[in-house]
Order: sequence, then structure tokens, then C-alpha cells
Amino acid sequence: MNEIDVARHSLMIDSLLHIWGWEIPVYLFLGGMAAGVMILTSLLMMREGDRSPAVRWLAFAAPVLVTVGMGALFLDLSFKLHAWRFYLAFRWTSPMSWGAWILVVVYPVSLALALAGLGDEQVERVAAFMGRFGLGAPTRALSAFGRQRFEELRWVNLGVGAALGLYTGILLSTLGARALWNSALFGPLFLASGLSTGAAFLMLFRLSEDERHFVTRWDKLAIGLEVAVLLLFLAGLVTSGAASKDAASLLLGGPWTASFWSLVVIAGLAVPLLLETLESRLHLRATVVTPLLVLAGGFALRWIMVAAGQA
Amino acid sequence: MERNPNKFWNPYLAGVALGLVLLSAFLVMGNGLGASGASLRFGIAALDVLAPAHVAKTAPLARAAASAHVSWLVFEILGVLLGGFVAAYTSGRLKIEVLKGPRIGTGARVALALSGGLLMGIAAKMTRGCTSGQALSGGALLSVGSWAFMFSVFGGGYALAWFMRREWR
Amino acid sequence: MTFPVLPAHELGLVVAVLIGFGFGFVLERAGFGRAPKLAAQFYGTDMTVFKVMFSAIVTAMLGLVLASTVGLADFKVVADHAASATFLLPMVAGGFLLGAGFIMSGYCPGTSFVAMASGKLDGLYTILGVIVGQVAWSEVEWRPGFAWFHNAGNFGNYYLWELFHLPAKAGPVVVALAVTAMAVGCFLGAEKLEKVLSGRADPVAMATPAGKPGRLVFAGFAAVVLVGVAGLALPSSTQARIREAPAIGQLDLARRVFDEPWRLRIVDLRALEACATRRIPGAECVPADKLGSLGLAYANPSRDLVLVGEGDLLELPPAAAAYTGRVFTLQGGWKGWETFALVQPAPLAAGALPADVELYRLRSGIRSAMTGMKAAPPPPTPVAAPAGAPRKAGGGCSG
Repeated sequence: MNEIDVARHSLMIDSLLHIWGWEIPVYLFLGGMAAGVMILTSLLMMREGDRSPAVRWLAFAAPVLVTVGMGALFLDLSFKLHAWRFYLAFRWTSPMSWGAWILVVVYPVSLALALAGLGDEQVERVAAFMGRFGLGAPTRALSAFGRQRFEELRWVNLGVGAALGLYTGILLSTLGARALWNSALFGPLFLASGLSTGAAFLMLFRLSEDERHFVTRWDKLAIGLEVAVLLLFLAGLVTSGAASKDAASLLLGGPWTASFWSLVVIAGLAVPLLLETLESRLHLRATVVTPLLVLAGGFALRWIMVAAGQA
Repeated sequence: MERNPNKFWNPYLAGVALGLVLLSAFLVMGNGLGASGASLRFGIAALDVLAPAHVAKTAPLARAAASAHVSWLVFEILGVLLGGFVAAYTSGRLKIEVLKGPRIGTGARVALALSGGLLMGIAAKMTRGCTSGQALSGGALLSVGSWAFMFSVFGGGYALAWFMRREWR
Repeated sequence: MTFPVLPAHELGLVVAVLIGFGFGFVLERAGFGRAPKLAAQFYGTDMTVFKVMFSAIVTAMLGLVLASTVGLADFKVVADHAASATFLLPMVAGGFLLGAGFIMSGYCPGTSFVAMASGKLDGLYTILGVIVGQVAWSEVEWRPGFAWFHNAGNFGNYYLWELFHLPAKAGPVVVALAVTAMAVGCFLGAEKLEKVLSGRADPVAMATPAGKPGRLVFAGFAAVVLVGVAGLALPSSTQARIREAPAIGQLDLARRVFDEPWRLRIVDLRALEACATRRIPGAECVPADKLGSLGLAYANPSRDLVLVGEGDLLELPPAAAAYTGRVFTLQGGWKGWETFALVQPAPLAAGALPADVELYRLRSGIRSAMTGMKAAPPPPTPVAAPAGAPRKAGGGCSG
């Protein structure tokens, strides 16, 4: 992606504004999900008692998801060989600079915590596997470091996760020329959505009963937050200037209304929340459809926001 | 908590509830309920991938692809899937399975489901709507065609029931 | 008329999801997501399909009739919008075919979606079959050899009350009450039949007897029939529904013809020849039996409609009552107009009141203006609105 400055970003200068295809929504979705996974694994590790194998291994999911997401982002770059320059020229005011560095920090922190969360035998297995690539010793060292700093690392991981989640939203909201994205609530919105998709991702796996309840509770909280932020976001747009009102009308009667309200709000938020509530009220067995709906809704949110913002 | 999957709503109360849903569709949207329009749209979407220019050349398909009413049905069916799922989940009937009578194999049942579906697809296109769109909605609106259709459906079902008894009983 | 609300397209799609949610939920809870339960309908052991469908039809129908009786909606307008036209031959033949497919697959197209949502693979296969069938028929329905069949027996929007030659206003009510009464009878019959065949019912498709709630529904429907019949029998209740049109005096009309003819739409209901010879300036000649062809219900309501009969109009023609703007009848009809405007008023005696003098002046002025006018060109034949096709505002407007 060519970085276009806010000042130049107008129809008169760059007439072709619709430049982001599927890659960006995928990247934002996976990045947000990774952020949610990081926050939730930190929270799970802060709990007393034993952790299920699934949760131990799922701590590795965050770096994997980020990698896949960055792969999508990389496809979107026009000058792929120039990607490294992000790391040479740090600009305090550019969220892309921040994002590039947050992505870098994600790896050591989440890997260290994931290794620290494993049992001795499991660490050995990972180290043996990494040994094939000549990385056995660094793996053991990282694990040892992680265990030593387990307490702090959980909080750092949580913080980095939250920063990653916020960044996925702020990335859009700094492009001030896009009226729909021009809202301070984009960061919190994508963070809440990332938390709930992260929770949904974890729920796809074989968690222990206790952990599932814990994750489900966080998912409900995240969905509730997301709904609240979404309403504030729309209210904010409607009560701002004419350009913002126009942008809000895309979602309130305009061409994106049907897909936004039905896929994101009803199918992605309201129904999963209803299902999770009924699950605990009626003591029903968990179903894989609930997290799938949350994931689909989270993806639809990013897709629609990216596409509608460029409309 | 175990739920009895064989316990259903009282049919008359369910009917009244269904009638109220239908009435709200009439009063809010001026539309009835339906289903077959949505499946046709799915077929069109598939056809669009396989043979892109074909839909535009076939008038009935092009009409359905552009129809606002059919779009309405697609979103309505999205709601049906969600509502049906929530209802099945909370009633203990959510289960991946093939439903059939005791005397028929799964393969034969699937083949019959597929060919029965095929017949119904042809019929639904012919009659401008299926049991939901034509019999239920049109019936409530006292359309002559809908009532003729409804009697005809029951006639067709009863006529073939004896031959199909091995599938169900 | 307040309903249907008809929200904007995109908003309507969101409403569609909510309505569909209710639809799917109720269908599943009624047992329509299970093929054996649906198929049992055709073996008489479990009449759930019939009970649910018929009580749903009755409920929605009565609700809509009630809404139109209190003036919140118009049954025919909703029906024209929501129901498809009647194509008798393909509908009867297709119905048979659909019934056959129903007993083979165990679902109808709508319930197969519910079955799929509850994880039933047979439902999924039925949907696949339906899609293929629909596309296949779409491929052939317009080709020569198929097209005549596909469009055979086209009656347009055709309703039961029209079939039985009932008046348009009371027709839906009468038929709805008859259907309700029939439904209650059929429900009792279905309960009997299930009891008789209960020994043969299979355990996954047990009939659900009416029980107390069912009897309540019967009683409710029956009560509606009784109240409805009583309401129809009382003449006042039907009289009150007929729209009254105020009469407009000749003087008022004459003033308006001169001052603001663009806000008038005068329709002369007399025989065409009589009207063609002499009529009020600007009047359209539309014999009373042709009034329906103007499509007044959909015409631009900004002009006041003035109906001119031979004499006083005794009742308002229904086609004119459907006009959404103001409707007047001319006091005394054409005869009254003739004596008022086309005959020289009798001279006044000396010492007449100033008001009479004023009226005399006006009438003479009107008369000279009316009769002194050059003979009007022969009236254009009114452009007939296509029957049945809804005309948007402005249709049928000759101005």
C-alpha cells in the first residue's frame, strides 16, 4: 500500500480512492483476533489452578495469526521489497510506524509467555522440533526467561495485545479524509471486536469446562462493549458535521445498511450473545456455531468498515 | 439438562404465532413470507460463477437476480436459518443426522430427498412460490391461485403417500 | 391507511432478517424441521402441518381483515402487493408436483432451510435439489412449447371474493369469516382423525392433541366468526364504512370553475352523448360504468374531484370513493346546473334585498359567460388506465 498523506487524500487530487481490497480486512481481522487471543491467554494464565493442554498450546496462536495476517498485508504492499524501511524511519505521528513495531514486539512477548506456560516435557518437545532448524538453544533460553519473568510477562502480553487491538482500529481512523473512519472510537471498537473474535477462536478448541465458561463470560462482555461502542460510534457520526452524517447514512439507510445490521449486528453480535446467554441459563452443551457466528460477524465488521469507508 | 426432542409447541398456538409473524410481514413490508425465491438466488449465484454471461441471457434468471423482492427473501432466509438454529439448539434437536423411517437406508433416503427437492424446485418455479410464499402467504390473502395450489399440494402428497410408505413407516 | 409501512429497501432487508428469525423459530418449534413429522401428515397420524398452516393462515387473514376494517390497511392493496397473480394451470399442476416432491423429500422448500439449520442433512440435500430444479425450470419456462403452459390460465390478481362475486368492500370480510368457520370445523375433524389413527402413529411423529390451548384457539376463532357475522348483519356497521361525499353548490362550483379550474377535476357521469353536447367547462365525460378505468385510487389527489350526475347522486360510486383526494358531488346534478347557470334568471322586483341583487348579477354573469363561450371542442376520450395495474400518482390525470 502506498501511504497516502491525509492532506492529499481527497477526490480532487487522488481520484482513485478505492485502493484497499480483501487483504486489509483480512489483516485487520486476524490482527484483532490475535490481540484477543493474547489478552485472553494472559487472563487465563492469571487464574489459579491447572490449565488444559488446549489453552497451553493456544498461546502460540497469536504469533501464528499475526504472521498469516501480515502475509495478507504483504500482498497488498505495492513495493514489497521496501517493507523493511518501516523499521528504519520511525515517525512518532504515524500509526503505521507504531503498528510495525507493535507487530515486532508481539513475537518475543507472546512466544516467551507461551513457552513459559508449557510443562517441562512440552518445552522439550518444542525445543526438539526447533532444534531441527538449529533453534533448540534459543527456544530453551526463551522458555527459561519466560518462566523467570512469568508474572510481568503476563501483564506485558496483555498490554501488547491491547495495543495491537487498538492499533488495528487506529490504523483506519487516522486517515482523516475518510469520514466514516474519522472517529476516535475506531480503536476501542476494533479492540472490543478483536477480544470477542479472539474468545470465539479459543472456543473452537477443546477447552476445559471451567475455561470455556471463563472465555464465554469474556466474550459476552466483549460483545456488550462492542455494541455500546458501536452505538456511540454511530451517534458520534450522526451528531457531527455533514461529511460524518453522510458517512453514517451509509450504515443507516444507505447501501451498506442491510449487510451491516444483518451480518454484523444481528448475526454477529445479537444472536451469539443470545446463544451464549441461553447456553448458560438452560445449561445446554456448547455449540461450535456460536463462535463461528462471532468470527463471521467480526470479519464482516472489518470488511464493511473498510469497504464502506472507501465508498 | 436433558431436553425431550420430541416435545413440540402446541400446533394451534404455533400456528397463531406463525400467523402473527406473517401478519407483521404483511403490515410492515407489504410482503408475505417465502423461501423458494432465496434458493433460486443461490442457484443464480452458483451459475454466475460457472457460466458468467448465462444468467443475463436467460430472462427468468435475470429477472430473479434483479428482483428486490427476491433480495428480501434472501435476507429473510438468513433470519430463518438463525431462528431455526436457535430454536433447534434450545429444544435439544440440534444434531447432525439424516432423518428417515426405520425401513430405509441412508443412501436411499438422501437420494429421495434430492429428487424430491428437484421436483419441488421445478414446481415452485412453475407456481411462482412454494408452500410458504404461495400457500401460506397467498392463502391468507385469499388468492384463488394460492388456494388451488394448496389443495393441489395436499392432493399430490396424499396421492403418492402410499407408494412412499417404506420411506417413512 | 397506515399500513403497510414499506420501509426503504435496505432497511427492509434488516426487517427481513428479524421477521425471518421469527419464521424460522416458530417453524422449528412446531416440528417443521423434522421430515418424519411432516410426512406423517400424509398418513393421517399427525396432522401438525395442516393445523399449523391453517391456523397461521386464519390468524394472518383475520388480522389483516381487522386492520382494514378499522382503516389501518387495505386488504386489497396489501394483497395486490404481496400475492402473486393467479396462473391456474401451472399452479394446479405444479401443486401436484410439489406435493409429490414433499412426500418424497419430507420437506417443503421453506422447512428444508429450518431442517438444515438444525443439522439435518436430508434438509440440505432437499435444498440442493430445489435449487437445481428451479434453475432447470427457469431455463425452459420461457422457451416455445413451455411458455404457453407456464403462463396458462392467467387471471391476474384474482381473489376468492371475486370468484364468488362478492362486493369488493365486504368481500374479504365475508370470505375470511367463512374460511375461519371452515377451519374450526376442519380442526375438530383433524383431532378426531388423529384419535382414530393414534394406534398407528410412529413414536418420532406423535400427534400433539389440541389440549387446552388448542381449544382456546378454536374458541377464539369461533368467537371472531360470531362477532364478524353479527357485525355484517348490523346495517349500521356497513353503512358507516361507505364514504360520504359532501355536495358542492352550483354557485361554489361556478366560482371555482372561473377562479381556480386547475384545482378541480370535474367528471361528468352522464351518458356520453348527453355529455358531449353540453357539459360544465373542463369536465371529463366518463359514463358511470367506466369510472373504474380512470384509476382514481392511484390518481394525483391534489385536485378536488367533482362528480356530476343527471340529478343528485344517490350514492358515491366505489371507484370514486377510492380517490384519495377530496370528493364532491354537484348539488342537483346536471339538471340543477342547467337551471342555475344556463337559464337567464328571472328579473328581480323593485326593492329586492341587496343579497338577491348580488346573486342575480352573479348568475347573469355566469350565464353569459357559460353560454357565450364558443362551443367547446369534442371532449377527448378519457385514457383508460390498464385494468389491475396500479397507477402511480398522476395517472389518469387529463390536465
